[in-house]
Amino acid sequence: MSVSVDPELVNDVRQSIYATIVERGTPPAACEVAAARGVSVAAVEEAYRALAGSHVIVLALETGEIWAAPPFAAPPTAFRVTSGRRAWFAPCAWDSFGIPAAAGVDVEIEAHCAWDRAPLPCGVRNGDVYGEGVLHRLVPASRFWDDIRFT
Amino acid sequence: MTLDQAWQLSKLWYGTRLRPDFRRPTADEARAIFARVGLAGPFWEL
Repeated sequence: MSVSVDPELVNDVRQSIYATIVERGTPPAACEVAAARGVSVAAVEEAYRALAGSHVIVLALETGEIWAAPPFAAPPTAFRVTSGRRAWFAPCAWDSFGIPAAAGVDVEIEAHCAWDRAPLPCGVRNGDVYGEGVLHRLVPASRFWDDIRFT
Repeated sequence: MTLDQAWQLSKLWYGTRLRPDFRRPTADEARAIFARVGLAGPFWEL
């Protein structure tokens, strides 16, 4: 059975998700968004599913809460991104550059070589990228969303 | 991809993510973004 979701609520929820992540580094639980927006938790969960269905966010299979709102990840990952006192995690190397692009800030990225774990400091300073390295992607673009957690 | 390609791609892909009027790129728009930063070939086909 399909359930219609108010597009305006979905857009509001998306903005709440990203505003919270940018501010504190982690996404909000559905109940937090519901309280902030004055709507039911069920309505927010439905908006979460709509956003996941359109590949805007990724939900944790176990809880239905947010696993990633690309370029931000909810759990700690190998890609920690900092800007002053603020810190975030990215789901992948590409998304570690997506964070400064989305948030409009300079960042330092704590990345490591996939081969020998050597640190690969890089980031964005004054709007320009710095550091050395090459990003390898294993999954072709047409299959990014087949298993986005692996991608 | 190089770090600069990742940064240029990120700006095009994620630069509007926090805006009220954000929408995901269509397949054609995604292809254009990949091409604009020099990501071409079978790996980047959609």
